[in-house]
Amino acid sequence: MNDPKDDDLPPEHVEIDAYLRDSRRKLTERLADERSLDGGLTAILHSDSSASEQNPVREWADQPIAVMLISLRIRARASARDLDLPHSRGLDLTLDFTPALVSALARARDIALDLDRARDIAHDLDRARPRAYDLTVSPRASDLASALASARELASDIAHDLDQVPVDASGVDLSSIDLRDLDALQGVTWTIQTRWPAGIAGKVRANSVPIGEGRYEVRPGGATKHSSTARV
Amino acid sequence: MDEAANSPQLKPAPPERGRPEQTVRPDSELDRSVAFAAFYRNGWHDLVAFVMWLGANLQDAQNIAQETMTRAYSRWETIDHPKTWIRTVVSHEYGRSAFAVHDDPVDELPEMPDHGSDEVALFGQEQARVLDILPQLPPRQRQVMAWTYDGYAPAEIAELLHVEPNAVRVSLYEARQKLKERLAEEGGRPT
Repeated sequence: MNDPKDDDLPPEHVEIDAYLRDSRRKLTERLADERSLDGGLTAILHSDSSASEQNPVREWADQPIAVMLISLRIRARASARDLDLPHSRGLDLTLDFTPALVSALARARDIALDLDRARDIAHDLDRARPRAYDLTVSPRASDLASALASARELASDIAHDLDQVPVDASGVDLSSIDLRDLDALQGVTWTIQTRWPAGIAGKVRANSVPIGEGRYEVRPGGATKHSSTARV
Repeated sequence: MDEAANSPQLKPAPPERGRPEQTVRPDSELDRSVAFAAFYRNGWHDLVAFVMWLGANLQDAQNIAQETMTRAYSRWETIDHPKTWIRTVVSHEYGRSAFAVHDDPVDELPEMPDHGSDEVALFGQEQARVLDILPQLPPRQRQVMAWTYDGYAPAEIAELLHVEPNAVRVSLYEARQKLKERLAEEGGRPT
């Protein structure tokens, strides 16, 4: 608490002011003894996470599976980047970080949960989350570092596994996806009827190869090697 | 619910003396969580104490603090001065939780909130005396006391409560005087 500020403290109130100041400080100290903050803090971080992060299945229920898969790939990459931030920016692994880690794990799990191919990863994340909760009770920097490394690895695994799920975007309208680079399109197959987000169609064509029957496959960086980029 | 009616109409927060507030502009979800977690952990107990000095009992103070912290996190990027913002909102919420909504947050405070004897016992004899007397002060005096002993100067409080600085000083003087007298009546503290 900051010291109270009264520019015109009258002499007759100096003593009561000191008494009240002391009383207020002791109240805060007593409150600090009364209650752990972990539950309340984690509840807020989670409630916000569930409110702001749409459930992928509900969000994309009416969308073609290709839209859902590509969107999940994008999210999974963002999640992996998120979990890498403390590492790359040298953030201290303090207690304060733990609820954020729990929240990030929850987001990563949400991404994984509704994909059959990713259920194993979702299960791993389910196991990692209670571990992270435990750390909020008795945090040790080494435990946090370990949990963070696990979470980062799991998030990368999700992104990797999602990349292994075949995505057939033939004739699908992908224009609603917030796609800024080709990274999340690795291996996606498409046709001339496929609609792309604005500004990226040329890039996709330049980085795709024909695979027959009017279909193409996105191979970022690979197309030029084979000198057979899509001509559509 | 009308958001405008639900949010305090803060003037630009006055520059704070002593430890300046940090403006938080996180650029990722995780940065945002970490910044908020630090604010929550550093400020929770002071915030609950602030609400109790407004007159709330411990349970109400914790509930209001938690609800307001939740709101703060949901709009974290838009809050430039979280410490001042959250105190203004809890003042508003505390008044609203007990009485009908009024436009002037100073008038919203309940006249005579109850402190449960059990929880008062938690804080020891000295705290119990102050917590017993504070709710007996008029709403404005309680509000001024809560802000003052949270580190705000009369001029800052005046700006936040939309009153004249002199009115704050008068309220502060009267509140201290009343506390001084009441505490002396009950014995146990020097006059």
